[in-house]
Amino acid sequence: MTGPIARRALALLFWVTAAVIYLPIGVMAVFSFSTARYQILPSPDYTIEWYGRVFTDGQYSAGFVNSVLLAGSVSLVATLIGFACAYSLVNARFPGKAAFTFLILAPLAVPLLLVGIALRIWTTMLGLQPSLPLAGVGQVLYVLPLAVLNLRNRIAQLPKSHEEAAWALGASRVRAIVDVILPACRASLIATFILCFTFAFDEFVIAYFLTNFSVTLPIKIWTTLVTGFDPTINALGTMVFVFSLSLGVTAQWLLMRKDR
Amino acid sequence: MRAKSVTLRGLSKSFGDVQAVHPQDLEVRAGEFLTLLGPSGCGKTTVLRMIAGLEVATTGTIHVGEDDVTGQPPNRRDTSIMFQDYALFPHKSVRDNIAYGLKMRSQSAPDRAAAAEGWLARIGLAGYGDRLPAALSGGQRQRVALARALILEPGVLLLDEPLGALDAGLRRQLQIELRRLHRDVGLTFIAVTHDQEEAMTMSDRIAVMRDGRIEQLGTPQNIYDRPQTEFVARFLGRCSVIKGRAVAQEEGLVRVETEALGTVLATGTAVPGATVLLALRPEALRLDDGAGVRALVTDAVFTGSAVRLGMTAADGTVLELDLSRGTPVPEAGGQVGLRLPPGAAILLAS
Repeated sequence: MTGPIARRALALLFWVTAAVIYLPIGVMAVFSFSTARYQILPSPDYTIEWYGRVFTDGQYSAGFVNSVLLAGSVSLVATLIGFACAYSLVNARFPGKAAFTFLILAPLAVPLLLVGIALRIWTTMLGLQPSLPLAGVGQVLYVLPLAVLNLRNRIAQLPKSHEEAAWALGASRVRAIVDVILPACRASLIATFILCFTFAFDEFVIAYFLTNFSVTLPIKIWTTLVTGFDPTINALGTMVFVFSLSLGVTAQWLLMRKDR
Repeated sequence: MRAKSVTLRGLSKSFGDVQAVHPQDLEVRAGEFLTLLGPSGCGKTTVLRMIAGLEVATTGTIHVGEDDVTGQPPNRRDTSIMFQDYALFPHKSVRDNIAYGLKMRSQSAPDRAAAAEGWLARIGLAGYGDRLPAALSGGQRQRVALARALILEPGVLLLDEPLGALDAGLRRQLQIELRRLHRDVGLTFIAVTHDQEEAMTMSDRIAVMRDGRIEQLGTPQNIYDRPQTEFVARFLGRCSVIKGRAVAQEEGLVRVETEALGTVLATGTAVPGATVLLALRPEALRLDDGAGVRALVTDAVFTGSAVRLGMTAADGTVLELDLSRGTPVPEAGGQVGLRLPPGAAILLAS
């Protein structure tokens, strides 16, 4: 597959894929500037009114603040637990390690709807009221596999001798992790945090099942959509997309740049 | 004196079904430079890592000085280790790397910095303290790793292939430097290497290891001159091995009948009638036209300081002999006469 035709075919495939993914979002972005209340082309005129509405409507900003707080705490907790988990997976030798690894990563394959329902049933059984913190606990379970995977790869790359040298020079296990492993994982830790953040920020199902009154941004968007369309959603969606995309790109860049 | 002895008793290690180290006894004297020498996979690094506390011994005990350290973690032992890859912390400056051990002992920052500067000057890297390890050459990194390990003045310094990551020229120079450093600091050094020349140059004593066992322990000269087994003879320096039958014991020498070289007087002891193996170093054989033993010259190789003559004896045994410069070199394909001075051949344990 090195001929000019094959190369052109591959390039075409790339652009088609990119178009399938980004065209709908592009259409949404275009309509977010349209004065029409409904999606019609050509647009009668252009405006940034909808963007203004996003900021003046208190419900959207409340949802945004909730989402940022929730995603921030979720990613912080997931990154810390994920690091501890990843470190043990790389270094510890214990029976059932393979099974444990599988169990940690398996939630990635379970339909989110089932996870959401299961969490709702379970928390109700425990007598817990739906709330933002509860949704946070649920979302930690959701993003934890990502954090573990990411950090495990990085920790596995580190030469064992660095940590052993620290021990031999008098460092305790914890001290060696703080002095040697954590600095070597800095970029990966930041990237993991951002990655978890983007996933938690967009997460709808678990948040929907585990919150009631204080809603997150995705839930606000959903409820707005089911009660009748509002072009503000186009503006909001475009902003969320740009926000998430820039976070995602930053995380990828950090991961590719690698820790030094 | 800071230097401490290391005593291993019945020390062994198995990884699952693999017996990496068979139960070993070893006594390393305080202040001595001992090298564990052997091919890769012989268990030498495992022994070193057990002394450092980085591997848990399967059986046996380890004493550093008077203390039984068998169950102690590495940070509680009076040992330091230098790794083959040096294991310098890449995100810490050279100064912070060197001072790391002192930081773990809770010394004040000014004291640590002063001690680190002292070591930087001592290893010829004054002014390099603020650099990161990545900005140093291989030889400089090796010296920083040494300084980092020695700043704690450990009773025992463990060196895992200390020169393994360097190129040949630098290696020879650093063998001498390491030897000098050992004399200066007066600590016990235990090194691991697969390089026999390195072991001979640096060590007071060498323990030759094979398949998880110490096969022979002695001074470099003793091991070179009196190898006890064919493995040791071949691993340290070049040698030819010939077969024979012991005939009689004569005052520390054994009369051996060989097909290759006729009757030979070898160093060692053997029961008359036993089948034996003899090791011959290239410098043992002499050319002698009047001698009764003949061999066929197969090749002559210039090695710099000498010419190495390859020969085959009457029974096909391959022999080697070093000719000093200036001696006429016999032509390949010709016959030469060989003489073996009494005691020059070494009897090996069979």
